[in-house]
Amino acid sequence: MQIDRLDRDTAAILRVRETRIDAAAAIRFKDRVRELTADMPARVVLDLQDVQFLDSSGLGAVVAAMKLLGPGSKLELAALTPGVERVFRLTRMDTVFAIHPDADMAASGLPRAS
Amino acid sequence: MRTWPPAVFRVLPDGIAVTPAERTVSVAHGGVTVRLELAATATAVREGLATLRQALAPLGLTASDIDPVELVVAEVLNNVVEHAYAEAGTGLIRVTVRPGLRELSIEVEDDGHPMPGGVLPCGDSPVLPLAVDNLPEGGFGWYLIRTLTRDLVYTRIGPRNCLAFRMEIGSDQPH
Repeated sequence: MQIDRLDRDTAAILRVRETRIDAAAAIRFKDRVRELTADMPARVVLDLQDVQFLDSSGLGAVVAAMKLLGPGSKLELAALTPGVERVFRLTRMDTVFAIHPDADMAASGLPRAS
Repeated sequence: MRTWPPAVFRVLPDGIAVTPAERTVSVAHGGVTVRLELAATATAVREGLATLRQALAPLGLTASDIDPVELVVAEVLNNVVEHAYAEAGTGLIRVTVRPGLRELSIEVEDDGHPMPGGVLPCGDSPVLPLAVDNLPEGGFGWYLIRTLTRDLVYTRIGPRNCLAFRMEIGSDQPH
């Protein structure tokens, strides 16, 4: 599970460089996020632009990742592809996470458009 | 009316070689039945879904048709792997897709454990908002299946589970 961390002004961006967060990948996703956020950054933006497919196991892993960060940190999402956006919308988890069109914009420190 | 031969795909367990001829099957238009057999492992499911997408592509379906089909079939297959065949470790799963004019009829069969109580989980959506610590990490699968399908029927015949459902194609539904 390749995830890269890029630190920006106001957030740590975690870019998932995989096309799928599915049942076969959910545990490795969670483990990798835990490793990359061991220093508990205050704000983490999960950049999902490369992820074409996310199932309920993947959704559960994203929720688990948010819990792992603990109360001092915040997990936000960016660049959802249509299939991934559908899963968040249908399960209403789009009301739980802040979702940004673009990770760089989300982390630039500029005021948000919405 | 002409009957088209069924297209058969086999996605075998890890480590078993499959020849390209077995993997690449052209699908004729006009109501061909797509049959997929795969092992009940997470990696075989992933490969089976890719094969299914490949098999459905020549039917002229758009991404907005195929994406929900892949999602629903993934959820059903994951349940078979994680529950029906949980103790056995693996087993055989058969997926049959019959394209119609405006819908796909899909059946998923396995020889694993029956559904607890012989009925499908209700798949209620979680009532949000919840505090972060109380958010569920599972249980969304049946909710997605029930939301995206019609005529969902579970039957247990002898040693076999069969889940049958329909999914609309070619409409501008918001899903």
